[in-house]
Amino acid sequence: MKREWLINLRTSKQLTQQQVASSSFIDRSYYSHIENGKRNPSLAIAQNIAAVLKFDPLLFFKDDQINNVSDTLDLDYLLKNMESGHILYLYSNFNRYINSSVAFSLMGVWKKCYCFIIDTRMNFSQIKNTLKKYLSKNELNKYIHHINLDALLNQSPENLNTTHLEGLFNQLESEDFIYLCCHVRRDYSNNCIFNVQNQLNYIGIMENKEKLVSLHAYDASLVSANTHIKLMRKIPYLMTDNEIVESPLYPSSTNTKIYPSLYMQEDN
Amino acid sequence: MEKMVQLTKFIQVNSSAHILYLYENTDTYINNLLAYIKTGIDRNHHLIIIENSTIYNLVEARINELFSSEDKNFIHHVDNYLFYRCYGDFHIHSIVEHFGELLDPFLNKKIDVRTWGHVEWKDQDDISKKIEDFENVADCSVNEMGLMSVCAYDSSKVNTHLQTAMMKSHQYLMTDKEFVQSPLYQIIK
Repeated sequence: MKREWLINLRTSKQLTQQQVASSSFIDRSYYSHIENGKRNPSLAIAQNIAAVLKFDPLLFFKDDQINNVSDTLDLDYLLKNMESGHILYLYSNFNRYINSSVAFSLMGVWKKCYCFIIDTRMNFSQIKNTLKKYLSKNELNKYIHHINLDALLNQSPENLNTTHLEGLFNQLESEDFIYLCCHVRRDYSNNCIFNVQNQLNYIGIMENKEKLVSLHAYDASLVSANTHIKLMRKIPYLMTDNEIVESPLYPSSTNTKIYPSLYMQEDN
Repeated sequence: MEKMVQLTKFIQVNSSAHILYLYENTDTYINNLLAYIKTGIDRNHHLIIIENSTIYNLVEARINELFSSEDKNFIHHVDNYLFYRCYGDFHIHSIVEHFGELLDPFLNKKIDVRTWGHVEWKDQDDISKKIEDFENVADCSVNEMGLMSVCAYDSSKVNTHLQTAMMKSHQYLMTDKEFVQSPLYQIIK
């Protein structure tokens, strides 16, 4: 629903969308989506817009009835239509993880994307054996590639032997899309939870994020809720063994609205 | 359509809102608890606060600064050590039964009441499964009683398996910073 009050406020001050957007440190199209009700601002962005137009930022949240029924998504449908993006997968059943990795990789190959599976040798072998049922030898060799998780985790970026990875990446053309399935087995401390991602940044795989679809898989019994909360703020989709939904804490989510917690509302 | 009630001056929720709060910082936790108390009292709702004595002592000092004697009549503290049987087995049915006994005097007199339970436990086998089952039962009770209820957990003591299970039995999820609808809630309904 359009935010008529916001449009009226801006026009009464004789400002353009571009002027408000620039002063709020966001781009015009995003601001336009906020006015049209297609996007919901995070509290930080709400505060920036409110400072420009001089109103209470919590007006964005006023009188909302949080009683919408949220929709679950279908992984195949999501992947078919997703050109780039990240999915946080918290699995409780290891076999489901293997099946999901296979489904994810098959979708990648179906879309002619290179698939990099970051896991232990043993797990990769299990995934590859299942993929053999569905893919030709040529498809397997061309599209499915293994990155050894233990090597990534046990070495610091500067010591990591990336020779074989560089060989893989040299094969890629700039227009190639990448499917990345990354299995993280332990609950790392907050400082090193993104160690794998840092390693990937170092070797260059994460450089072109517009052409990357990634599945970050964690054993749900080994990850604490406070880590999960931090991950939900960074990764747009949340998947369990049974469902996939938009992450409720991802700030740019289109369907979920993030309200400030109780005391933050009282402070305003 | 379900009856909606004001949670804060900006948010309306179902009258039987079952809220999962995963906190990281104790100071922020206390601020959120005090805000919950204040918004309840502003609407003439009584508050049952099931809390450990260490945190409640800190909360009580702030309550004494913030609220009048009349307001304080709306606040009722229950020791969570006894309530959640932190001395022994996390026994679901005893806890739910005790919860009902606490609420009966208010509900019988048609007095509006909101609850806040800080869930803690003694280390024991299968505690995740017990809590998951407990929250499923609690969700049914909260819905039946038309009660606004917060279940607060230290996020460092809950694993993600339990968290996603609890996001299915609570319609709302709160962190120190955010308040959102749980996207997993309607799936088991």
